[in-house]
Amino acid sequence: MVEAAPITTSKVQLQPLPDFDFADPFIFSSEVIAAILAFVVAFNFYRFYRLSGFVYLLGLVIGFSFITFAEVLLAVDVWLEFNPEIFNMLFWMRLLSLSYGFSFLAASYYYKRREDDRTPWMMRIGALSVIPIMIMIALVVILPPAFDFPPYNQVDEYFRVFNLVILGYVFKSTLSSIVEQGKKEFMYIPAAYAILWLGQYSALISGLELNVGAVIAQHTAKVVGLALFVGVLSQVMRARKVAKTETEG
Amino acid sequence: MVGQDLQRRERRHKLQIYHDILSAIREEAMTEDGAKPTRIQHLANMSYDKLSRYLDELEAKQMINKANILSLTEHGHEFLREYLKIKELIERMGLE
Repeated sequence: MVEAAPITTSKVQLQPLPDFDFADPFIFSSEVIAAILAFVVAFNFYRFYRLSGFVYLLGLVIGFSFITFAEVLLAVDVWLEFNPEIFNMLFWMRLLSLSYGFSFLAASYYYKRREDDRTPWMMRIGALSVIPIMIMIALVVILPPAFDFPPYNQVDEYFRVFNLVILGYVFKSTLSSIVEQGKKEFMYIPAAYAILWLGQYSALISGLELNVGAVIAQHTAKVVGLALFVGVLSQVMRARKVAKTETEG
Repeated sequence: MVGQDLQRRERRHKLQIYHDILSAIREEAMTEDGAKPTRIQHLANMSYDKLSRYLDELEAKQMINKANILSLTEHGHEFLREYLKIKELIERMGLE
């Protein structure tokens, strides 16, 4: 167990911060790396979306863009040495961005077999992503008496549990698709989602009971999970040059 | 249930269908008569209604130009060049 330094403001009690020497540089560098990786993933999915025109790929583009934004916000928080007022302002944006990002990923998988260009698909994916977030906000903000914001830790836990459910659904979708295809060599993506799930689980644990292991696991899992996406995209980009020649006739 | 299965099967092959139609247009464009819809229908092996729907989609995605004679846009050529990569990405991402 590590000593924690609780921070309070007039509105919310902020998450106690890890009080070990390496925490800031470690968290900061992992957030910067995660932001870069998520941006690379989003950019490449955008490229494939533009090439194919399949709208369900747009859910991945938007999802990873929100994840990039969430990582940048946390990196800014750490860079500003957890300035309580800025932290207070940014933490809602960060929690929402991350959950919103995961929701868009889930929407892509939900609609992957329902693409129909004659229907307003963008409206459906937007609605599917917004509805769970609205429910979350309602649970966190409206249900408590007199719009009294619950403590940071409690809100953080709600969102982490929400993220775990969403990522669990995405993991199940990818796994069943890969199993259906019978291609074991394609297991990297389900593994990447599983690692992101572990990262969120570690974040939940570190919120409930601050300890160095959970903090390290949370940030490491995020970087490793996103790195797997970059690795798979890199493999795809380099793939089948011989076959490409064949399609060019 | 049957409808869902059909929709699923159709979705599974959409990328392939795009590829078949675009390849047929590219091939026919090199002939003297150019790429006519009836000829593309024969080469892509699909009903005329279905072909019409996909041609509308491909035009909306700016992959073809539709007139009496069909032709590929630069985007259509790019799709064919990158087709295998798109296919592999969709399979690897579990979006098949």
